[in-house]
Amino acid sequence: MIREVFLDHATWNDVPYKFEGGTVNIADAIGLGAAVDYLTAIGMDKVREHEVLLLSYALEALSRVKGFKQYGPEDPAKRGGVISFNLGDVHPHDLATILDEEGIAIRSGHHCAQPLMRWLDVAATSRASFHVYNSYDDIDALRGGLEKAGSIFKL
Amino acid sequence: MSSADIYRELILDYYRNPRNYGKLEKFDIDAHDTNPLCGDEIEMQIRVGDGQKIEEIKFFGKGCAISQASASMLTELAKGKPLEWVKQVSKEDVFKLLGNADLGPSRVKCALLGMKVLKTGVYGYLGTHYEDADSETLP
Repeated sequence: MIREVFLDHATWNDVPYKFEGGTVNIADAIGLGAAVDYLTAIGMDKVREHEVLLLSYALEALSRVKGFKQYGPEDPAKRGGVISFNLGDVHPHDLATILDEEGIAIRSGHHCAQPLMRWLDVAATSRASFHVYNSYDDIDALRGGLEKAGSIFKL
Repeated sequence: MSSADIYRELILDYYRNPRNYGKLEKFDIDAHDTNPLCGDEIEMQIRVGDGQKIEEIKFFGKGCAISQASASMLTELAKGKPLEWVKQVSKEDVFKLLGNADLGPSRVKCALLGMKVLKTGVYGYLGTHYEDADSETLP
C-alpha cells in the first residue's frame, strides 16, 4: 500500500501494510469453491475408489513394460493417484519429450525433491498422475507411449 | 520432426558411449555449469597446448541424452582447435552436430549447456567474459 503518490515517484506505507495492498485473491477462492462443489457432488469415496482402480490397473499394466521401475508402495491402497517411475536408462526429460508427442503429459525431473533423488540414487524420475477425469484408456495410451520410448531407445 | 528423429542412433550412441568422457590429470581450464530446472550437469576440462590450441579436452556430467550427447560431440569438434575458435562457435553449430533435429523450446537449453560450459571456460582463460544470451530464454 502506498503512502503518497507523485507523478515521478511514490512512498510506501510501513511493513506489513505496504505488502497488503490490492485486491484479495477472489478468483482463487471462487475457483476452490467450485472444485469443492464438483468433488462433493461426485462423492470423495467414489473419487478415491476410482483412483485406486486406476492405480491398480496402471501398476499392473506398466510393470509389464520392459525397463519400467516404479517407486513407492506396491499396494494401491497405500498410495495416492500418482506414480513415479523410470524406464531403463532413458532420462525422464527425454521420456517426457517422446510422450508429449503422443499427447501424454507427464512431469519429469527432480520434483523439487533432490535429497529424495539422491536417496533413490537416480538423476530424476518421471511422474504420471490419475484422477476422476482419467480412464483405463489413458493408461493404455501411457503404456503404448512407454513402449514406443523403449523401442526408440532400444531398451 | 518427431522424437524418432531427435533420438537418432547417433545421439543414443553418444549418450551411452560418450566420447572424451572423464577427467584430465593436468588441465588449464576447468568449467562447470548446471541447468537448475532439470538437474543437467556438465563439467569440462581443457589442457592448452602450443599455439593456444586445445590439446586435450574431457567432460563429465549427468543429464538427458541431448545434453550429454551434444557436450560429447562438441569436445570432439573442439579438440585440436585454437582457443580463439571457441569464440565463433554458435548454437547453430551445436544444432548441426545434433542433426538439426527440431528440439522444441524446452529442450534447447539441454542442447546448449555444453557450449555454455566450453565458452565460459575458454573465455575466462582468455581473460574475457562470456555473456550467455540464451539464459534469458528460459521457459
